[in-house]
Amino acid sequence: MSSNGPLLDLRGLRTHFRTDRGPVRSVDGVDLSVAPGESVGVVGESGSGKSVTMLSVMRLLPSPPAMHQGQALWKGEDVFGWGARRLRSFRGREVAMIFQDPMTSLNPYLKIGVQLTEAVQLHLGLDHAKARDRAAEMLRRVGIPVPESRLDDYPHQYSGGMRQRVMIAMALSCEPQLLIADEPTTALDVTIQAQILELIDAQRRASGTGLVLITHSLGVVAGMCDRVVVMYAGRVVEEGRTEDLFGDPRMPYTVGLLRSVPRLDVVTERLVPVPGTPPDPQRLPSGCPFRVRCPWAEARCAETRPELRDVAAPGAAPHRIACHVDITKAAPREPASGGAA
Amino acid sequence: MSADLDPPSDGPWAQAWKRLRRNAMAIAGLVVVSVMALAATFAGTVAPFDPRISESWETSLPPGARHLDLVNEFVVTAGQAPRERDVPPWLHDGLGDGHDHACELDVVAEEVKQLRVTMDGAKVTKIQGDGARTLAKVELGPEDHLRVKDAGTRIEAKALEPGMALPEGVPAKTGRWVLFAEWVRIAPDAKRTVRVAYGYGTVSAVTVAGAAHAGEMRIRAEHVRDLRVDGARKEHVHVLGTDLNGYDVLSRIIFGARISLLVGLVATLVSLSIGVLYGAVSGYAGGRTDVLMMRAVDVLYAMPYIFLVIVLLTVFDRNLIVLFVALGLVQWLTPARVVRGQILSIKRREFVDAAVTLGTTPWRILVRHLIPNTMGVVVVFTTLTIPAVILEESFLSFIGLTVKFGGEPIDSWGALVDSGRNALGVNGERWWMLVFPGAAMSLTLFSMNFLGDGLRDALDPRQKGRG
Amino acid sequence: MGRYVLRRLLWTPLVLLVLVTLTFALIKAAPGNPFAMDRVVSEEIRAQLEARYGLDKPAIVQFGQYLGRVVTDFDFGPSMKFKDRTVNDIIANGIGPTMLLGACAVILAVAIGLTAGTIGAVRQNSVFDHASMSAATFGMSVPNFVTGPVLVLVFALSWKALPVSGFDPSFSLLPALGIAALHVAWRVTERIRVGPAGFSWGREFACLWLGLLLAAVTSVVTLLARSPTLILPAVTLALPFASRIARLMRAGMLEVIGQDYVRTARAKGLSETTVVVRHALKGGILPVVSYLGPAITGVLTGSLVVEKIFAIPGIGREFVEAALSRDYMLVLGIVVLDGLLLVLFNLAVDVVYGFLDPRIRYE
Ligand SMILES: Nc1ncnc2c1ncn2[C@@H]1O[C@H](COP(=O)(O)OP(=O)(O)O)[C@@H](O)[C@H]1O
Ligand SMILES: [Mg+2]
Repeated sequence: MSSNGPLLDLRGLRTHFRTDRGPVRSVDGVDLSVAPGESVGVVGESGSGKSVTMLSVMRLLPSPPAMHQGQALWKGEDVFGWGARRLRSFRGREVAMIFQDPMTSLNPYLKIGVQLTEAVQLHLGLDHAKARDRAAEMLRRVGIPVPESRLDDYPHQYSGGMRQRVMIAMALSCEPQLLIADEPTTALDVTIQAQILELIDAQRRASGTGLVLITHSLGVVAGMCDRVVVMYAGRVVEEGRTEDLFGDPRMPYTVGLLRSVPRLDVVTERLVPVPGTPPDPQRLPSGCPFRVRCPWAEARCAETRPELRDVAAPGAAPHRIACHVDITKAAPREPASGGAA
Repeated sequence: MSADLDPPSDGPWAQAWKRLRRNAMAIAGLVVVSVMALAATFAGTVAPFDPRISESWETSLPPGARHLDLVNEFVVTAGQAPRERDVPPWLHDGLGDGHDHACELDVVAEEVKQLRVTMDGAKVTKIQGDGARTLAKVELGPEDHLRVKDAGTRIEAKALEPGMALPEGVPAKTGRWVLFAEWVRIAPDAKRTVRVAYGYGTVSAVTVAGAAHAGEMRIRAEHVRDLRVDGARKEHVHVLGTDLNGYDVLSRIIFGARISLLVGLVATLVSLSIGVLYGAVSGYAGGRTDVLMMRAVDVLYAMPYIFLVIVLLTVFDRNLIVLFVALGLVQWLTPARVVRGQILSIKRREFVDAAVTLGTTPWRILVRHLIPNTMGVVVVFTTLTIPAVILEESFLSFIGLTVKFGGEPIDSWGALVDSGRNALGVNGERWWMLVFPGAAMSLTLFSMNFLGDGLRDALDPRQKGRG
Repeated sequence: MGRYVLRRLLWTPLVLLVLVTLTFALIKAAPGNPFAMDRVVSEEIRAQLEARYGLDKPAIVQFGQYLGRVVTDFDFGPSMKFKDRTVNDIIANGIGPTMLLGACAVILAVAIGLTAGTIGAVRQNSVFDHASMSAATFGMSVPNFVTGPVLVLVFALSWKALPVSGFDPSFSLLPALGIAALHVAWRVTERIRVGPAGFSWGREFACLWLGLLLAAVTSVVTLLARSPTLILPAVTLALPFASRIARLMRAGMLEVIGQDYVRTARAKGLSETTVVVRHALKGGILPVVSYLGPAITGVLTGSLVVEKIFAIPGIGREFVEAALSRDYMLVLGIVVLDGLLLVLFNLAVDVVYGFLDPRIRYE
């Protein structure tokens, strides 16, 4: 509850799915924290566990099959220790989430107005009329023209971009302290992606809301986030202030990621990652999961899993990597031709 | 060229089979259906009895009733201890104890086909069928034989009193009598005794032939010269009992399966052929034709179908062809719709374009390339339509619209259920006649539905619900 | 919405016309002249028929006259078997019991099916879920002409708890009861707030639900008290539909509960009840609604069997008897009437569907 402690603090979070064919270790020990008002970018190839991490924090994964270990501390309280009532006052009110696909994230059978007002009625205790005013106000803020009349429309009468705007309005309507946006633009037209991101950025700055932005686009992260977290195979492999991480990547995977992006200030649709494919979360290799694709891999990489360690200069903001090798000293192998993995 | 255009190679089917094998219920369904189909095909050998032949002394036997076919003849000479090998297990007690002029048979069996008492020089004074159901009439036949004949009615006890008027022309005299009782059935709850008393003379032979399924029969005869028992050696069990007419229920079910499955299969083939062709043509033609053809399907879809089928069966002779047509007509609509959808999606694929550029005729494209690609759907529909048709046919027989199958009195399951329902009795005491055919039918439908669902999931895993 | 309903409405006469034509043509196609079959038709009836439909005239004229009478006077003509009864008389006598039976069955099936299906989906893989789904799969596969006699065997013949068959005509309270139940439910749900506050879909659903359950309970109770003869038939008729509805509802709810928008609703902090009632039910119930059309056909078909088993003097039994005795006028009349009922009901179902799914409504 201390004002300068982190809002959200994940400590060794693991989320495994029980399946017929054994456990899927989608999130396998994630350490991550978000300070109030801070914006954190989470990047990583698809399947690296970004969404599962955030859904675990919201406790939105049905259990079974999802099994959680470790801690997800919200202002020092473990989310996994909460009962249903506390959880409900957390979801939507303290943390709100925007999902990837606005086409499926809104209920097609309910009017937009109903979907917008129910959360404010619940969390802010507004009556019906006030809630409607608030909903219209939120719609206006996210740039929907004539919001009063559009409250009684159904989602199918909105375009994809407008729906994502509605999602943003819905997420911000209860003034949460943290907004989690899970690839909010992946499903949208390239032309409106930038608008939506700008909207999220502007709105959250205006209200001082913290942000966790999951994205494929390093360019977006560079423009919007104070800090970056790189995930690989269900783990955080590098984490630091945006300028540190981009200027001086220390984990081979991040190096590969950055190399694959032509220019940092361009919004790219998908990043062309490092050669090879990410490991199957059902059969993670021993030691460092990245070693099979890593040009710096050494014998010890197969033996022990590298823990996150701080590599920042003393006194500087933390810059942590999970890697045995100091790539500033060691030389990489010749890049594997094609993709050997 | 056409090798890779041909219907799905082993790949997807093998995969589907793999998926199906993981579905325990579907496999159980497959096993049940296979067993049923085999039993129906080889009904003649599998069924323990011929369902067209009934033994009228075997009516309404409960499930598990055993039936002894009396094939051997045993002769027991009076006054002698029966020899071990001659005597059936149920024949015991001393025979003869020195008294003349009396023969008493304790028949501890539920039924006896023929009871023949041969007497030399005896005058019948009394014949009493104690608890005998059908010992109804006593008459003197030709050659001075005294006959006790089955009159078909049920009489608890009937006595031929001394001096009672014998049928005309037959003197009450001394001579060689044969007391001949056919179908002596002894009520299970009555004292199971058939007693033959006579004035004087000697019983020369008592013959008991036919069925004694209770497996126990005791004959005590005094001064019987010969006691002949047509003995029991072959034992049959009516596992599911017999019906009101003495037909074996299990055998009727097996033969009924033959009808039901045959009707199901043929009508399904009829309807699927119509449906696939119609859907394929509609989908392939596209445009106006397609719209028109599908509108027609929509209109027909809204019909109360079973009513039309009933009208059809009322108007025309109720023979197999009409039945197939009637049932086939009901079921073709859904496959037509689905196949059309499939064709619409396949016809844009490259191999169709390839065939078109090669100058293949539309008909050939349809038959060679498009329809084979809908086989997955067709298989699924076959397994789901067969039970639907079986159900419909049984429904029709149940309400009385039975179809004659070549004049043979073999009923489909629906008719069996209906007759079982009518046979229940006031307290439901003859439940087996209803319950077993009903269970067979439900089990089959159950299994087929499971198999069909399983096949659908296996062939199109995307359709399956998530999680 | 208006245009949508209108389009559906235009559909109705077309379907009916096709049905009448088809049936009439079938009868006409029968070997011999079915309307003049002296085997079944007495002189008196034949004279009546000839007078009305001009049996000597060509088939098309006869058809026109028949259609004309049906459309203008709703007159289905004389029965060919009973001298003194018209088809209208017979239908008028039989429609009451049939509708009553059908209404009971539908109410039971919907109330049981929706409840079991929803609970099964919300408590997926629970004991209740497994038990109810096994029961439903079983109930779907057992034909009603097996269920009926078996129920008679168990409850009427062996246990003697219920009457074997028959129909008590004094009983006709059920529709009123249903309406009363809905009214009570509407009042009750005014008090209970489903979800946080204000307008919500929850109330409509909760109301419908409660109404159905109340109607089901009251009808069972009343049936037991006043007309126990209707219990076994209603249950027999309802069983396969209740099973099917339960399965459809469960599958529909599971499908919807797995949707992204339900996750969105949970992420808002809504209670599980609100999530289910407001966000999941409307989508989850759609498969059931589309099934109601076929279901009503099934109920009418099923009534043929059930009325026979339980000796209920409804039009189903009349139809079977007419078919067996080749009373073509009666057969024709009942087919047309049932077709009309079906088409109207399907229309109602379509309207409800459009009401539930905005994407269809605004199409
Ligand atoms: N319900 C589930 N059951 C099993 N595996 C799952 C489930 N949800 C996600 N996963 C697996 O978890 C891994 C991480 O998924 P996700 O977090 O969605 O990746 P991303 O980083 O692209 O958001 C993936 O390999 C995915 O297959
Ligand atoms: Mg993701």
